[in-house]
Amino acid sequence: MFYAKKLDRRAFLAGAVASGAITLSSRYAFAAAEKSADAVGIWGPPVGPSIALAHLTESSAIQDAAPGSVFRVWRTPDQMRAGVASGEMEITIVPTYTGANLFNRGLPVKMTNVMTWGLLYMMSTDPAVTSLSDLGGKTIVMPFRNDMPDLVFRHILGANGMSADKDVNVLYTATPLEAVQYLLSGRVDTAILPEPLATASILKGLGASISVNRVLSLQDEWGRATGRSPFIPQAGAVVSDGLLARKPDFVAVFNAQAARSTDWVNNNPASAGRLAQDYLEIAGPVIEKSIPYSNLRMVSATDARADLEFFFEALAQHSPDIIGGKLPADEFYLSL
Amino acid sequence: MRGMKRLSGGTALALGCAFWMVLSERVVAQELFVDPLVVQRHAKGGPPKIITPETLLKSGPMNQFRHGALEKSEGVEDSVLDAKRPVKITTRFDGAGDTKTYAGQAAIKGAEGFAMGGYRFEDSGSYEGGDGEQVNTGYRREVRQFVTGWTPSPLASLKLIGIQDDITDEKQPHHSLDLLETDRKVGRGILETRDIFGTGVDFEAGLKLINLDRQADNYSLRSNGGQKMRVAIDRRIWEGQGKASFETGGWKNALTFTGTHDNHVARRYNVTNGDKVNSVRIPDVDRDTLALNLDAEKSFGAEQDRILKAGIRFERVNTAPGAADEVPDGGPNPALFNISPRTLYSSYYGTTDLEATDHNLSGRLRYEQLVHPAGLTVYGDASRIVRSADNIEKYHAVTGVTTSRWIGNPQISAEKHHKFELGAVFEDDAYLDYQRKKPGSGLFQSVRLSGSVYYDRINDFITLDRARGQSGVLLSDGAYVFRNVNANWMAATADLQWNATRNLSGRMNMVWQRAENTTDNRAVYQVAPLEANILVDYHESLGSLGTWNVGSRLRLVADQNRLDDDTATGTGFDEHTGGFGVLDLYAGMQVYDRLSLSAGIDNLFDRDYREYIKGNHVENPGKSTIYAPGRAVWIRLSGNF
Repeated sequence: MFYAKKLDRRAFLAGAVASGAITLSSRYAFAAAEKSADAVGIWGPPVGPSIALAHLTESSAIQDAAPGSVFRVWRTPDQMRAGVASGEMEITIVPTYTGANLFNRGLPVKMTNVMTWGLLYMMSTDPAVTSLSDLGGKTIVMPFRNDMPDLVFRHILGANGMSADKDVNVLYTATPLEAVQYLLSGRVDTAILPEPLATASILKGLGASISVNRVLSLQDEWGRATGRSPFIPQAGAVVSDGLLARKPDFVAVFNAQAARSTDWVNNNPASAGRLAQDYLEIAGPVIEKSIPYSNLRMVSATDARADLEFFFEALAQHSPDIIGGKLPADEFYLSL
Repeated sequence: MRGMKRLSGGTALALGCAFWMVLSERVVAQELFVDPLVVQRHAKGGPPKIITPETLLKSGPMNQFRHGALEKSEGVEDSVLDAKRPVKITTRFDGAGDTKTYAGQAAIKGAEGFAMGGYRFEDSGSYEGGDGEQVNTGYRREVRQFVTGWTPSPLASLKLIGIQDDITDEKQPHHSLDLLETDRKVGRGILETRDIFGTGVDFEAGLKLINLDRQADNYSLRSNGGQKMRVAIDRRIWEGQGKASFETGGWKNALTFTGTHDNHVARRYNVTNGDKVNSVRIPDVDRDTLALNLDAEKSFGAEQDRILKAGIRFERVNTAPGAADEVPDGGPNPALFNISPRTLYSSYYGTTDLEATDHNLSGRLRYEQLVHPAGLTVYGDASRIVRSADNIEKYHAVTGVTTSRWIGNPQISAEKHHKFELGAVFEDDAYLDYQRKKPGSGLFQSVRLSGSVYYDRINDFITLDRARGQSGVLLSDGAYVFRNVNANWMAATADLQWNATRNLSGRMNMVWQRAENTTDNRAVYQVAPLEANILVDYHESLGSLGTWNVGSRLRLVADQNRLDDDTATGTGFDEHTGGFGVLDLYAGMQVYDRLSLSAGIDNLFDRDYREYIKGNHVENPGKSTIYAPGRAVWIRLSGNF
């Protein structure tokens, strides 16, 4: 066709139709590839570590081991608990303390890894706020009373000789998004926010001529307060016992690919932003800008156990219920 | 809103858009729902589209002898060049003309302002056409850009934009003159206020200046043993605009006032004869336009899935030549050259009143509806757009031997387009964009199919013609003249995009049009032939380092057999070129979203072909088409910091 010296309209149309037919017929070549009963249900909330799982499910390693697996997003804790209980969510990203809570309540799950080492930041529109010592007497907006960010913040304040009940006024919101709205509306000037909302508050602020500053990393403050590394083992993947029975070799493949995918996300924030837009329906630029602050790193549960147990104990000092009243047993930490 | 999404294609970004909108086409032009500028003089020649901040890094080198209705896919390079990084650079080498391109852009944004600066340089030489012959072309192009904005509050902003696009030593192998200089400078200031004085009215005021300096000659870039000529063109356009946006009764309304002053002068000089003027090509034309646009838009239905948009525009266009009585004195043959524009207009059209005023009334009505649950949006668009003749159509005054004269018609009527368009867009829920598919969707669940047809009945279509004593033309000497005729224009487009998997996508796009000069019962010149483009693209992760892509574009262009190629009966503007098919291959890889390397082979099979639509960087009514580049390799390296 390309060598035709003269392409008249009849030949042109024939060529175009033939090309279209080839394209259409080739569609059937892919039909079989997508059908598989061997797929694994992989889920996560719309946060940074889930982007790594989105990338993971598109990898040949996972598609070879569990053809047809697709990453899906859960939006509420209730949806997550129902999914885990029903076995539909065979692997899902959860806050690590939630994993411990589920396990201690008897749900058939085990922790296989930690994928993010802290997403919490103090954001402020007040340029005078640069450290914890500047918070005295201030109102700070915080999503969810007695949830992990609240407990971590209290722990940090306590280690710095301050009290969340006396030295600052904490205003709790029903959702993290509401906390962002408080900050940008000017009703408060300082907030504790998780990524990617911390980054979203900066970008939304730029659009509203409001300068939102990333004042503190709670991970760094946690490290100073506890004398440990400046990381919080915040979220990771739990695996259902059903999957372990059905595909016992899959979790090793999963963890290996999760490490590679986490590296890919860290290395490629712009591409990851696009992936997040497709999977999580979050604006790509927000994810792109939030990834450097998301502390994404895959560490197996057994390797992270010491950090996890320290973290769980610290949280339990303030609210034992958050982990289900006790440290999880040895079986919780999946050994591969 | 769902309907709007259907037509926009792709997912809108919620954040950061305000800044990047500033870098788009709107940098140099305001968008109007009823805009005569969308209908330009047919087959108009002139400088290539100005490079905006949005296209500074990504656009390929210019080549007026190679076209394409559909661009190749960007590939994974876009994650480097679209990354929200402050500094981006790119460099490219094209085997066609050994063209080197270097470009860089730096941007910074804070809560109360932003600034962006950019620079681009292109250097191109002659290339080998598909027929194996060297095409003596080449140019240098330098683009400098600066955009800054002050955003003290969400309710107010001030933006200042400066762009210089300077093309030098651009050879024109199909024309008698080369372009030594095409220097365009654009300055623009835009003040935006929202909810002014708490009235709910948004107000935007803008001031724009475009300055064009063009120099051409027939001896600096080519050997010439005969008469040496040069042309100098100077044009300056001032435009002020005020726009008020407000809502009443659920209608979103916009009232826009535009005032434009355009001064345009061009002279040709006989360098051999003491650098004297031998043609007052554009006789110091002043063109003043006052326009008022009123647009209104409303969404209906429980799901706001029906949209009605209406607009009307009234404009007054006044034109007058300031140098119509200037008699050139540098013609090699005074009887043929040394003629004033006024004498020419009078001789060819009997026109003595050279000042002209048009009162143009244009309007447009558009209706869109989303058909549930099919994912189908259908629309109808009816418009009457009135376009006043431009400065060349009214006042061009090129002297010389009669068959090379080119004379504008000062009292020519405005062109009236009556266009009716019907279209439909089907988009699967799982279609996000080309090469972007909602995860977990089936093989056939990410398809976008769109098509449209339109019919445009044009009263007083302004056609180029040869003087043959037609109605309104007094001479029969074969000179190029402008006349009003009636014409019908029809077009159809179809576009199919299919994301087979998250990695593999294909696209087919077809464009067809047909235009008939119904007054003279002949084809309108320079109407592009039927064209189809087929893209196949694949992209994939590159381990944990980055991503890579590979793709192809097959461009098929049919033979155009509706020609205006006879100077005895028409303009003789067209030349038969034949149909052709060209295959391009390309691939790219990027690491860390920081560094990308792309490469490709254009015209893989070294097809010898010529575009039917001629090179158009100069006003050139001559019948001379040039071979497009043969097989050529290109490579591009980009990075960000």
